[in-house]
Amino acid sequence: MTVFLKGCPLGCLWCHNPEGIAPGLDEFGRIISVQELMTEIEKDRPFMDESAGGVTLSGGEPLSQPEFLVSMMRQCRDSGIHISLDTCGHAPADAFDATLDLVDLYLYDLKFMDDELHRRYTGVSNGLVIRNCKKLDELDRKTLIRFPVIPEITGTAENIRDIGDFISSLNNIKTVDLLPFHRTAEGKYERMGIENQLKGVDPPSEDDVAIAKRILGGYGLEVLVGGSA
Amino acid sequence: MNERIKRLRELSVDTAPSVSPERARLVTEYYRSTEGEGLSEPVRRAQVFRHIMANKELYMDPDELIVGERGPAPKAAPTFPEICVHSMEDLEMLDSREKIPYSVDDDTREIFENEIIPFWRGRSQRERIFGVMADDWLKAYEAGIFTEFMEQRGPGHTVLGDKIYRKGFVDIRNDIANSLEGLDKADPNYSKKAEELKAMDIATDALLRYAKRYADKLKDMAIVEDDPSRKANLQLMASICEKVPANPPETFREALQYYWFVHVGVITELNPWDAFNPGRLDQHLYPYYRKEMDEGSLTEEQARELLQALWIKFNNHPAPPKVGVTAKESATYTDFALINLGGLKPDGTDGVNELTYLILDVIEEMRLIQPSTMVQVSSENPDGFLKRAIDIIKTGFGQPSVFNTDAIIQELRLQGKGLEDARAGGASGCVEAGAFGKEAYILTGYFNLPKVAEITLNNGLDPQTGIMVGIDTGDPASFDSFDEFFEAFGKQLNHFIDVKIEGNLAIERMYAQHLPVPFLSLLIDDCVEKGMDYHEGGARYNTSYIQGVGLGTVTDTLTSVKVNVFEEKKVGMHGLLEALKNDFRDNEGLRDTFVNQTPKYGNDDDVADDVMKLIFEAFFTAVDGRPNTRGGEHRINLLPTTVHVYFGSVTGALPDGRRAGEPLSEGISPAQGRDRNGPTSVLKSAGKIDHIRTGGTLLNQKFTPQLLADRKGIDSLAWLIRAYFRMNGHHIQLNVVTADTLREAQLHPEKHRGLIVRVAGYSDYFVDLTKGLQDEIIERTEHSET
Repeated sequence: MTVFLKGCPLGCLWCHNPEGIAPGLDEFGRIISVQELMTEIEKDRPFMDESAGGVTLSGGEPLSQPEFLVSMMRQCRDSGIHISLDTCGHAPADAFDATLDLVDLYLYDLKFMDDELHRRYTGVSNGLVIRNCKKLDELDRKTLIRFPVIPEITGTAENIRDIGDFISSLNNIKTVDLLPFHRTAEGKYERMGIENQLKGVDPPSEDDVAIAKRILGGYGLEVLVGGSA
Repeated sequence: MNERIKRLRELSVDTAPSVSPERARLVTEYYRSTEGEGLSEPVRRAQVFRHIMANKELYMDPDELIVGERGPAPKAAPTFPEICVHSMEDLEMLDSREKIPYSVDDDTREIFENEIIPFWRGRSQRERIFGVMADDWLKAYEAGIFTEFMEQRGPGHTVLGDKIYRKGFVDIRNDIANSLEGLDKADPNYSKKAEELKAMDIATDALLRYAKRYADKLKDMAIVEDDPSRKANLQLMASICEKVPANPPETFREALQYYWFVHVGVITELNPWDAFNPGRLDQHLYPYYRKEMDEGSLTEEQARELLQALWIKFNNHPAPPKVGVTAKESATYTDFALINLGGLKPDGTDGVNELTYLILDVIEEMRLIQPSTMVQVSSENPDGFLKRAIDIIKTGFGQPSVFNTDAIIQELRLQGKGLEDARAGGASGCVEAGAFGKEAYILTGYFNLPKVAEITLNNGLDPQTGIMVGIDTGDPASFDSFDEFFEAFGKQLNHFIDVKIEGNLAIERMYAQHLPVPFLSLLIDDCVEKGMDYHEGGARYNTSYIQGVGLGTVTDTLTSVKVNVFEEKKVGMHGLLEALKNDFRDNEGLRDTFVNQTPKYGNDDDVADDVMKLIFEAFFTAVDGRPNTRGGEHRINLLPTTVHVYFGSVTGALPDGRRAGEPLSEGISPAQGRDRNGPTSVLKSAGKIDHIRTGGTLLNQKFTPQLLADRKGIDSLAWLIRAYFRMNGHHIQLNVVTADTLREAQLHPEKHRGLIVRVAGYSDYFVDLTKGLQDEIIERTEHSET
């Protein structure tokens, strides 16, 4: 099962969960204690046991609620529940490092290696993103890099090569999952009455995705598309 | 599929069902000619059967690989006037009704008017039944508290085991002779047993004659056939018909032909529910398949073609034409032969074999509504088997359905069946667990649980008619607690179950007395050994079922009374009754509270699910263990076929917010649209039912195709099913289709003739369903990713 935690320090133009960006309680969230959440999670136990699955923490950015996150992940670990953390990586080093012994799998987003572009499209520098990613590599934590392919934004040949350069410079992390841009969030933008700056942008063609896959494959990386080989 | 199969399949699919007078005429002719002869009923019935098999037309298409039809041609359905004599009005209605019509030509009408109706009026089993049922029974039946399965069809509800693969009819005849010889003349039942055994012997002779007639006809056809390959085929078939059923089969093809002869016999002798069924087909046929493949005398392509020919045979046989309430409860051409694949061998090891996968290919390629098919999934079976089944399910014609072998075995064991008998069993009809080849497990009628709640709310009165159908359990406005209310509900429930069972016992005796089935008795252990008819208790195991309907609706109804009336006091009992009486007119606010702010079954919410458990216990306790007249007991299961639409139509507005006349929930599925937490919560709620104490439960889940588009989706669904089965879930069936597609099909049926959906325990053409049922299927919550 997936738990969405509210609040995100980034503001990516292509965000497909815009309802998770604002912190605090609004029409999209509810206040829940760690204990209540654990009760909900336990309800799904039979399905986790059968599929060797577990809980995925996503958002928003789960690390924007670090205390809650660590507290519930500790309980999951004690109950033998597998934890995946879906993160943009933009979190202070101490908050990030507090998760290192609690997470079974990091789903770690990389968007741009160029700091200027990172700032332009997400609103923040990629300094922490790179620092935290290197930390995962250094400690050899199980990590799947996720790279959103957005035509003419992240999907330029130059950016893809930058990403390839960076991942191949790491020692342990060797897998990248391409997430082709899709439009399923368009309705959410409309309903929420916020401007969709990517309105009219088409999803990448199969060729675009194949090219990205080939470039990254050229760096000796294992490349998945949408989670599949 | 090759040209031959393609042609036969098209003929089967394109031929419209019709009523054939042939059988009714032969039966009438026989009864007329022997009137006044002092025959025992078993012998008379066996002679009727022999008269039909000796005189019925022998249909033969030059391309056929398996011979035998119940009627004179594919899709020509006979009637059974000794049970239900169709009136001229019935025939007119069958011919003209919009859904599930059977064409009736002028000759047929004339034969009915002049020969059949005059002879049978006043003598049919149906008239006998309605003539002797008690007043309480008739009132409850007319109010729609329960239905009666046996009022126009015989009790069948059984499946063949492995007997015909071990014994030819010559061997069975010897067994009958031995049994007859072994009878003790001092036994007070001596003459009864002797007559039954004599009848069984006549019944063996009947089928042997039928096969011999085919052999002769095929030989004649071979002589005049010029085409050498057709000639060879006709000669081969003639020799097969001379070999089986007289002798045990030795080849794959002989085994199939033998089964089919037996099948035609059972469904011609009477019109038993669920037709007849070879059961564990992959287990029974595998030894022949393996041996011949090893010898090189059979190729995979030949085996496939023969299986396809068998599939077409099943599809050629629509259910006998139904009328009245039975036509509403079971609005379908499907006759519920449910072929089982996979599961366990009698020694408890994995039963999946090469032939299992070949049969799955046949199911996928044939895409026919008959036979129904299912996979038995045990923890011993490989995931690849389950995923191959899901591959077919996702093509969206509702087959095969998925059953939990490990739960079925526990259910049968709990009922006292031997371990090997349980492992050799499975599910038949819609979802009913049975010991194949050894059990008569008769479904006696559907039971409308929400209607019992409605009658409790009205202190025994049916508010739809103002008639007192139940008993006085007190004015609910005088109740101080939910416990008091539930006690009253329990009393009404027990009353109606008593009435139903009293009727069941009388009807069982009527079948044993007037319509014994010596031919079916040959096939089911231990009828020959005991010298006792299938209807009398000759089978090794004898169960009678009452099928609870509307578990979701009745749970939500009682939960709402508990929470809104007694706990949170959002409405008083008078206010509630007033709102229900007015079908929530001018009271939408209250209805909104009921629908949107009250716990519902299907959401893994213990408030509702605990009420469900209470109801289950009350229903189980009322029924389970009550003796029948065949040496067995009554038990419960939870399935609806299409009766939840009819039951809904006779039930007024309920405290769950359901409006008057709307369908009830079906099977153990949540009420339509009331499950809002996704499929895992539905499975968790359903998993709280004690499936092992039932003889089968039916859970329907609808998925859209995109959910199963890739490997990942199929894996997830396989895990979901495995998890449900670990909670002892009995069965799950999956509709893979979008609601938009269904709406489109409703508007433009002509464009969607081929659209097959899962209804409830079987699949059907969507455009053949009634508008009410179509709406109901669209309404069933569509689980798709957001």
